[in-house]
Amino acid sequence: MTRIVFVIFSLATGAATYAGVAGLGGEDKQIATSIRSGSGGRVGYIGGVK
Amino acid sequence: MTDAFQPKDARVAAINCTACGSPLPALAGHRARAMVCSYCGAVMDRHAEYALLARYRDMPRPDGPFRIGLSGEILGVMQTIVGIVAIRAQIEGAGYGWTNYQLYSPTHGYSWLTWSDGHLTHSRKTRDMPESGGHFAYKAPLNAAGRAFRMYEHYVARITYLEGELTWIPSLGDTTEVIEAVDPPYGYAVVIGETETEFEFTSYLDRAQTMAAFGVEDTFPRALGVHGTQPFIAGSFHTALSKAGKWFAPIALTLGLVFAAIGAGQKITETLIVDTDRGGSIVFPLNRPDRLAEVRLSANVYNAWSWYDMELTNEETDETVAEFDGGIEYYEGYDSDGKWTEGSQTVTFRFKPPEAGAYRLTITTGDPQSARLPVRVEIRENVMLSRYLFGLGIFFALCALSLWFRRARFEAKRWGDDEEEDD
Repeated sequence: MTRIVFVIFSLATGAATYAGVAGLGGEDKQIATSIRSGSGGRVGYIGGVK
Repeated sequence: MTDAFQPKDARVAAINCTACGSPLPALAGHRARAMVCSYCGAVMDRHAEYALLARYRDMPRPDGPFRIGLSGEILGVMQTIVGIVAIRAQIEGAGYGWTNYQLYSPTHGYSWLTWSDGHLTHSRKTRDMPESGGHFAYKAPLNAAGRAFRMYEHYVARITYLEGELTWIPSLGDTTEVIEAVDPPYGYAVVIGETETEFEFTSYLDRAQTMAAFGVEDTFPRALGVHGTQPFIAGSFHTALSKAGKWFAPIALTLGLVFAAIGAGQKITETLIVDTDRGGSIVFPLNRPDRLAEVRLSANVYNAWSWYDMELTNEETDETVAEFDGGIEYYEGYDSDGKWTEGSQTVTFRFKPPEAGAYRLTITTGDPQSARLPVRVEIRENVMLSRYLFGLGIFFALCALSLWFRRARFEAKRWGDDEEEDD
């Protein structure tokens, strides 16, 4: 049982380290949404072309 | 006087009650002094041709899973239940009751199996006297039998039920003063009678194992509370969780501190935009699209707010990557509690660039009511987050401490320190 918990905790620590380095979930929501929209988030712009 | 008695369990010797004639199993050795009839309550002297000494009719039968004649192994010794004695006691104003089963082993003699609120213990007389005398004092040390006990309870026990073969001539209502001390999973009792003082050594028993050993199906309610001699036994999962937590909490918290120290990333560039009405821009390279970049705005805003519209464009394609806005607000003052502040003179925006390359950030005042102040713009790259490691570190620490908390709660229940909480 101890070995299983140690493996799970190791994986969790690795995942948290990766998430911290990659900055997962750390983006400003407004900017992330704007970038994902592909048009700079502006109304009237379609397909990411200015 | 004896004849063949055939209970369900085994063929054993029996006698007939000299008062009512009912057949009674004779299971104990010669040293058992009394035989109490299970049917009419007659107390007979086994050493005097079963002479009738007393008779107690309508004794309330005590709660308990065992009956006379059952045999089973306790602490590696085969034992047979030969008698039953129920006890009542007043402890700190509350009434308690338990059932003592007189045990007999041809090789180990007489001892007791006790059923108390669903807990089972085994007690035997011992010649190990306490290292020092004295009166009962709650939690005071009592060294005996090579162990460091702590005094647990002091009460007067009164007999309320008698049955079967017993090692002395009992009377219903007989009382004995008892001082109990515990060192889980063991207990030690000083039993002070009218003519002599005896000492008993108690061991807490595994209920399931003991009942199985006697062939009794456990259909009885769960044990109530924590018995004085009950050891704290954590499950294997909880033990593993605590052990792993002790290792991983410092690892995660140290990594979190490292991330907090170096996670601010590298400053790419900075500039000061003096006239935000006219606006300004800053061009910077971002080389790690897989990492967080950060825009940090600072302005000397005081008891005011400022609002900025920002546009991030790809410098090479002139394509708008993102549009966003945000403000800085900072207030301070004094009230009856002293100085107070609210807000900050710095604000950060974090994002992941869609690709490596040069970007331009354009900033203008975003609201006519906004304060007009020079704003310092700082661009950072390779920003790391420590929050996950800190969160995990706290979780691991709670895992490590949970066993300690659970043990402390268990001990509080043992010693009655949680009564206030339960109320």
